[in-house]
This record gives sequence, C-alpha cells and structure tokens, in this order.
Amino acid sequence: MNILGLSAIEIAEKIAAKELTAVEVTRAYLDVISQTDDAINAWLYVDDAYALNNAEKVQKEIDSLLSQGKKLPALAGVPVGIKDNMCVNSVKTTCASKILYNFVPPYDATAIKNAQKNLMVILGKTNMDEFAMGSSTEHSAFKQTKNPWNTRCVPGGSSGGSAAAVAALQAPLALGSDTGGSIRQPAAFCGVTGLKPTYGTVSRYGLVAFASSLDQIGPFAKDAAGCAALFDAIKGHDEKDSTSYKMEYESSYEEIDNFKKPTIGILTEYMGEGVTNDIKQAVIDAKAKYESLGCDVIEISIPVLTLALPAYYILSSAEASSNLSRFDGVRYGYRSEGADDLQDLYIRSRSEGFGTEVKRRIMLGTFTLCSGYYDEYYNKALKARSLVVKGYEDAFSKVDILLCPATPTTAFKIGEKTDDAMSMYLADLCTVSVNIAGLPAISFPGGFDESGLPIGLQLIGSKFSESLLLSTVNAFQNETNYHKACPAEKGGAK
Amino acid sequence: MLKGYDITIGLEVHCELNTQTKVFCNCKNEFGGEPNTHTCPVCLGMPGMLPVLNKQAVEKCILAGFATGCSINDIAHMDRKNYFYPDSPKAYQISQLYHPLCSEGLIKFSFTDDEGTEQQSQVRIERIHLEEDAGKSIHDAWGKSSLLDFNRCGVPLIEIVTYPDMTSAEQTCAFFEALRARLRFAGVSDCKMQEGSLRADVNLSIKPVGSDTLGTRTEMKNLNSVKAIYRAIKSEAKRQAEELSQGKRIIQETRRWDDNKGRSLRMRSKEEANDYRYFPDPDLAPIAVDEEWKNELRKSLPEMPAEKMKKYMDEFALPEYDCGILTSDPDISSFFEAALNHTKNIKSVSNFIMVDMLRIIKETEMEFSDVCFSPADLAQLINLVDTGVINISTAKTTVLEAMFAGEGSPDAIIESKGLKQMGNEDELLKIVQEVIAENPTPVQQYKEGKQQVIGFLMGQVMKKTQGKAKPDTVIELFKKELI
Amino acid sequence: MAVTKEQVKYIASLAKLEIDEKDLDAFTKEMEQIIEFADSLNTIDTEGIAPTAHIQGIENVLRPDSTPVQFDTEKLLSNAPEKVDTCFSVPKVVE
Repeated sequence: MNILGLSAIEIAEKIAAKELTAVEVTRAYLDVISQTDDAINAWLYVDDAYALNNAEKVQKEIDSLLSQGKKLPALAGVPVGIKDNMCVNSVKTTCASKILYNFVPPYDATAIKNAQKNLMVILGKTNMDEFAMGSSTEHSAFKQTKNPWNTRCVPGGSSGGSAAAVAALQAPLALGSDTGGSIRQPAAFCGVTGLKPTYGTVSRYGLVAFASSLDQIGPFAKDAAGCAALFDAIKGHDEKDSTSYKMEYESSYEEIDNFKKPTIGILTEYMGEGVTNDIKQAVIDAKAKYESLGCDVIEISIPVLTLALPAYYILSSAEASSNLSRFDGVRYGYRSEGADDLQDLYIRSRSEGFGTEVKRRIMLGTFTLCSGYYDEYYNKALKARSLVVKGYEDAFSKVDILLCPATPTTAFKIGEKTDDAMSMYLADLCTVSVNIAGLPAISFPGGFDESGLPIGLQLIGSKFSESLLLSTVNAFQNETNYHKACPAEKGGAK
Repeated sequence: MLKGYDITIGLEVHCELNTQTKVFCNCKNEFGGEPNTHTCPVCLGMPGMLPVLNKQAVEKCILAGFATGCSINDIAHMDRKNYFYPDSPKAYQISQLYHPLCSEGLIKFSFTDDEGTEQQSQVRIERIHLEEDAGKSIHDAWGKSSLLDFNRCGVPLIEIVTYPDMTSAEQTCAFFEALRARLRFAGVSDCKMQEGSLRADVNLSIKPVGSDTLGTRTEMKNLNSVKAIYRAIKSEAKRQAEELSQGKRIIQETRRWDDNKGRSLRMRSKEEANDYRYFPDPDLAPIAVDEEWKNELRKSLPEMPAEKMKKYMDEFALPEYDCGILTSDPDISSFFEAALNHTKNIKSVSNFIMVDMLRIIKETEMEFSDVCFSPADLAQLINLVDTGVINISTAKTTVLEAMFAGEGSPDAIIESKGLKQMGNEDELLKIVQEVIAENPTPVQQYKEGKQQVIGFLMGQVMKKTQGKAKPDTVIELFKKELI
Repeated sequence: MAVTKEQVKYIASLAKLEIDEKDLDAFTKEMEQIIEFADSLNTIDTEGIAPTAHIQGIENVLRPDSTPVQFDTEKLLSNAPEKVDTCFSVPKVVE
C-alpha cells in the first residue's frame, strides 16, 4: 500500500480498519525523512527508536480499544511532526536557538499531551526560525530548511520545518505556532493547509513563548479535513493556561462536510500594492469558485488594518523582550564559559546564545517599553489593537468570512531578504492583523504562480469560527486539486 | 529630633501572605526547606511555563486592604516588572503597577514621642498591590560563586506603600507595629520579621524646619526588625543633616542598612536605577472584584485590634494599658478569649498573660504562638488559685514555669510536685508557734506595734512549708498567738 | 524619530546584550528604520481610544489554594549548567 499517497484521515481510517498499523505508518514516514531530509532539512531532531517505540505503544492501545469494540480517536495511530518550540517531555526542545541547544524539558506541552491522548505518534521536532521570529526559517541557528517545491527558495516561517515536512510527505500532519503568520505563511509557501486557531482555544502551556498575547498553536495538513481533526485533538480548556477559554467545543472534523455557504468578503486592504498579480488572480479565481458553490461574495474594506503591521512589531517585540529575558545561562541552556561575574555571564551567554534577528527584536521591544517611549509606542500599539479588533467586528457584522491572500508573494529565494529586516517584516503583511485581533484564519493552496510555486489563500473568521473556516476550505478542496499536488510531481525536490 | 530640620518618612512594607501554595504555581509556600525542594518549572521560569493566579492570594491582599481601611479597586491587572537579577528566574517580577488591588487607606494609632508624650497619629496608605517574592542567593565562603535557592521565589507578597506622613522614628515604629498587628489580626501573614515575611523599606528626607519643600529622599532597604527601622531612621536623618551642614547635596539613592555596623551603605543612585519597563502581563487575565465578592470578604475579616481593644475595655472593664497589650498580637488575644471560656476571673487571666506569661516568653526568647499549653490550662490554674488549692505566688512561678516546660496540666503538676496549699490550722499552728519561739526579737518588735514584721514571720513559715502554707490562715494564726 | 548609538548601547545594557562596536552603526540604522516604521502609528488619532492589553474579555482566572504539589528537584536541576547539591550555581554576584 502506498501510505504516502494517503491523507491523514485516510491513514486513520485504514488503521481503524486494521489494514495498517501505527508502526507501519510511522516506519514509512521515518524512511521518507531519512531519504529526503538531507535535501529539505525540515527536521531538527528525529529519533527513530523513540518514534517507533511510541508507535508500538499506541498500536497496543488501538488494538485494545478495537477488541473492546470502542471507537478510536479520529487520528489514532497517525504520526505528527512537532515544531521545536513545543516541549515534549524528555525530548530536546531548542526553539532552533543556540541558547537552548541542550535543553530537555521535564514536562509536556498540553497540546502534545492532548495529541498523545488522542493516540497520535510524535515523529520528531521540526526546524523553525529561532524562537519563531522570522518568515523564512533562515533564522534557525542549526539548519536552513528548503522549500520542497524549489530548494533554492525558503519554506516560509517561522514554522517552515513543519510546513516543508508535510509538503515533502515526510509527515501527514504537523503542529506549528502562529504569532504573526508563522503557520499560514509557510503553509502558503509550501502548498499545504494550515490553521491558526482563535487565540485561547489551544493551550499555550509548554509552548515556548515568543509573544504571549499573540502566540497560538495550530495544525498543518495536506487538506482541511486533516487540519480539522488535528485541531480537534489538541484544543480545549487547560487550567494551566490562564488565557485558555473555559468552554465546550464542537468537533470541527464532524462539521467538515457541513458547508454553510457563508457570505464572503474580499478584503481589499490585502489586494493592493505589494501583492503579486498571480496571487490576486488566485483570489479572484477562488471568488468565482465560491460563487459557483452558492456563496455571496462582496468586497469589503477595513482601513485600520494598515495599523496592524507596525502595531504587531511593537507588541510582539515588547512581549518577546520580556519573555526571552529568562534565557540567561543560569538554570538551563547555553552558558558562556569563563565569565568573571554574573553580569558578565548574562551578557556573554545572551550575546553568544541569541541570533541576530532575536537580538534585533529584543532590542526593539526593550526600546518600546522604556520609560519615555511606552506611551508613544507600546501604549499606542495597544490602542491600534483596539481599532483593529473593532474593524474586524464591524466587518463580521456584514460578512461571515473574509477572503484574501495568505502572503503578498510566493516563496522567495534563500538569502534574498536576510540583509533587510524591513522587507522580511512585510512578508507578514496579510497575516499579522489576525493575531492582533485574536481571530482564527486558515491558509490553503489556491494555485501556482508562473514559476510553479504554490499560492496560498487565506480565510479569516470571527472568534471560534474554525468549523466554518474548515468546512469552507473543504468545499473548495472538493472542487480543486491544488492541495493534492506534490512537489515531486511538479519537478520540485526529488 | 534633629535640630533645625524636619524629617519626612514614608514606608514600603513587604508582607508574605500565608497561603498554602505559591502565588502562580502549586509549590508549597513554606519558610526554609532544602534548597529548591519547593520549586517547579513554573516558579523556576522554565521555557513555556505559565502562571495561574492563586485565588487565596488575591483574597488575602484584599483582606489586607480592608484591614488598613483601603478601597478595593473594581479592576486590577498584573504587570511585569523587568530586571535581571539572579534570584528572579524569569528576569521579570509579576507585580501590579497601573491597577493595584487596593488604594487609599488610613491607619490611626498612638505613640509616645521622644519627649515621652503620648500622641494620637494617623498615616495614609497609598496602595497595596500583589506580587511575587524572589528567591535567595547564598554566597559561598570562598567568594567565587553564588548559589541560588528558589524556594521563596513565587511566594505571594503584598507591598503596602504609605504616603510620606511620618516625621520621627518613634512614630514610624509605632505605625509599623500598628500595621503589623492589623495584618496579623486579618490572618493574612505571620509577619515574622526574622524569617523575612515582613520587611520594610524606609524613604526619608529632611528639610529645614518650616520649609514647604521636601528634601531629596533616600531609600533604605534590608530593615529586618523594628529596632533596625528605628536605628536606621535615626542614623539616616543624622547623616543627611551632616551632609547638608557641610554644604553637600543629598543624592537620591538606595542605601542598604547594615544592622551590625549600625550604618547604611550606598547601593545605587537614581541614575543607576533600572528602567523596569512595566507592561501588562499578557499571561494573566484582569481581576474584577465585584460588590458581592467585596462584601463576602469584608464580612470574613476578623475583628481588628482597635475594635477588640475597645470591646475589652467596655465588656471586661480592663484598663486601657492592659487591653493594649492583650490586643497587640492575635495569638495573645485569642488565648485570652479562649481562657475566658473556662474561668470567670477575667482580671486574673489578663494579669497572668500580660505579666507572667509574657515575662517568661521574653526571658526564653520565644513567640507567643510557641506556648505549649492551652488556654484551658491557664484557666484551670487560675481556678485552683481562686479555690485556695494553691497560693498565687506558687502558681505564678513554679507551676507556670512547669507548664511552659511542658510538664502537664496544672493539677498534675501540683500533684506531682506536692504543691497543694497547707490550710490545716492544727498543722500550721504548730509551725507558727515554732517560728514565734525561734524569733523572739521580731516577735517583740511586732508586739511593740511594728506591724510590718509580720511579713518576715510569714516568710519563715513559708520556708518551713516550702511555700505551701495558705497565707490568710497563717496571718490569722499569728494574730491570735501574738495578742 | 532618530535613534542614536548611545540609545542603542543603553537599550543593549538593559537587555543584557552586547552589540559589537563594528556592528553598532548598522544596528543603529536598522533600529531607526524599524522605529520609523513604527512611527506610522503616530499618524492615527487615538484620542479617546482605550488600549487593549487583553483581547479575550476573560476575567478572574483563579485557581484554588489547594494542597501543595512537589516536583522532582533532581529533574528541575537536570538542565543546570552548574549546580552544587540542590542549588544552581553562578559566578559571584557583584553588587
């Protein structure tokens, strides 16, 4: 059986039907990783024995449940790749940073625990921009992940490893985190589907914080159905995270075929300057597709969204400057040798342990919180945040869902933007406002540009509208084949 | 008093709350312990860990607010105060800057000024906010490295900030004692200064007498006893006056008090002070205190010492001074009140506690809470005196000391030590007659009208009876025999 | 607004980072560029708009003060670069 040709849901169905075992599936993906990852570099840490051992345990549970005639969790036995900023008990968790090069957490992130409870198999840890700061995975301290569609291009970031792994069929599913687009942008660049859930639906406990008020864990899959099932597996209230919503959730996976023909607004702010024509055309094509499916599609404008990008860089950097202060070489992680005294130890460990982009953000954040600048920058950004929240609220009183590009361009060349921080920041143009407002949004394949690179479209919904977003993408994917395309078939990395 | 200058003093008092667990994690909140055995990934600031606020800590902060006459704010936020320090694992302290839980309180108290005059006074509280305590650095003997113990890290702490309403060391110490008593009566902290659960920073400035403009202030840290506060104020006021008299300027700075050397040393100037970059902690939701919650807590607030004192004076007809002592410490007042359930002799309970028990406690350097016998035991002892089973001096010395030594209940101690009073007239008559025979001179003096000699003769009887003779009976017998 | 090298050095000292003298010019320029971008927020009228520090509208997320839980101290110290018994060890603290 060609395991790699199956979607995550199909794998789970075959395992439930005893046509496949978790061990066989895990071994198949481990084989792909060992064969292809020299070219892609999607993974930071894969331990075959660990993964297979887990797969065996999971299979035993599956067998036991099946023998009792019980229903399996939707993704039982399916392997999943984990972005390396999520703590897995006793497994190295580095955030692709030298400062955590040897850190082994004695605890699991809640999202990981939830995935394990749902009998999923942890395959390994994927590469990322250091501390999730970046849009290209070029800021990893350890390796450069390549875009499986064109290895001279970046996979996007910061969850570039997770996106590339799913695109390269090294994993059927992966978890990423999205602070300003870090799931949606790499999903777009790599031609896969990625969901950024409503802030507070997936616990952040055990996710190494970048910007606490914006960070959210979410799923990658080839299709919306896989994302829905993985989102179901990891979401839910967690008393260890004070920002986790205390509520009961419906299953998004069970709602996946319940296409509600939502009213769609095309967000004009993200259809202007800086967005390539190929991408604009893909949005227009998607509009036509949804109209043919019975949706009303109108144009809608939220002018305050222009504030989102500067507000995002101020807020995320300010929070990061504080969150990353704990990396000081004292209790864990990298410690510089030969420091004379403690101050010296702090400065050396941090200066040697952090990469340039991380330092840049810490500096920017420290600056905007300083007395004298707080009101001018940080507090102003909080006010801009109020306006963005209000802007979206108004829009969602008119339409159910917003449609726009996930990124202004397709994947750019490795090295193209590394010398220009500002141009890299503009790659997040279409995604950051969603985090500022704490909303859910999904990025999904909507075609290819003239050079054959995937184009990502984005649907944005109101709070807790994940099921609507996922079913709406599912309806699109029932009518299109973009999400089924493989880099190998298109002449990408072999 | 400082010649030619007025002193202006404000306090920042830190008080550890006596919750079971820490403020943001489930670690034990307890003084001491093997280093780092009361820690977890959250209070060690490990990657990905998140704080979850302890409800009891919030409630105790609010109770402290009620105990000090503060208003409780409808909305409070937790903020991050950013600074690198080895005992602060996250390199930020979760505290409250912009929206504290409590604001604008007032404490009334009395004190004796340096001329011995009793003064009525009041100090305004600016705010009380909730935060987390830091860990401890232990400096090793050879000075090469420091060791870090985070057991205290994350213990809930409230900071009580006063307005600069105090003008002398005497007044400041009396205010501090009044505040401490209120915090203890409110049940929010044990306020043990020697264990650091209550600490004070003193802000002090001086200005020429009559001037309206405040002088430049300094902040003194590390004041671990009331005596240290007193000495530090005296010393710092003197230092500032000397600087000014030499034509120097006072520099706004933080100073560390060295109680052994009796002087303060400069820690850092204002210019070197950190920019703490406070901002709202995104990990913690705002705290909303509605009227219902406030009322519930207000109702649960135990009686404050001032109210208790008034009650003691009114209901028990005890002198003001005695009531002041009985209400200076919740352990004392609850012991007092509990003892009253077992005896009717209020005055005697009060005397035993404030004179005899406190004497022994002071002599043995213990705390009232360390007393190992029950209020019922004390009441029993008093009842045994009142019914003539033992005499009062034996009760206050031999029996009470044995009770402190944990030798058992009063009746058991009296039994085992054979301390029962001799009230048998025939037996005592023999001894009285012996004493009269052995002391012809005093007897003669007594007969000549020197009444006070009876005390000497009584002493002789007590000697022969190991103090067990019932004094009233002995005096009666002497009077009869010596007519 | 313009950013000076002195400001960059001061910010670095607060953040416990060291910026190489040779990178200082470039870093300062880059900071200035980003700050200028952030300055675009100053074009908006925020009069009467409340800052949103928490977007969720959740309040009073509190846990009960229940029985303390003990964590394995050895595990907590297992990542320590240096330790002595159950203490983390660092070079001497100079005040």
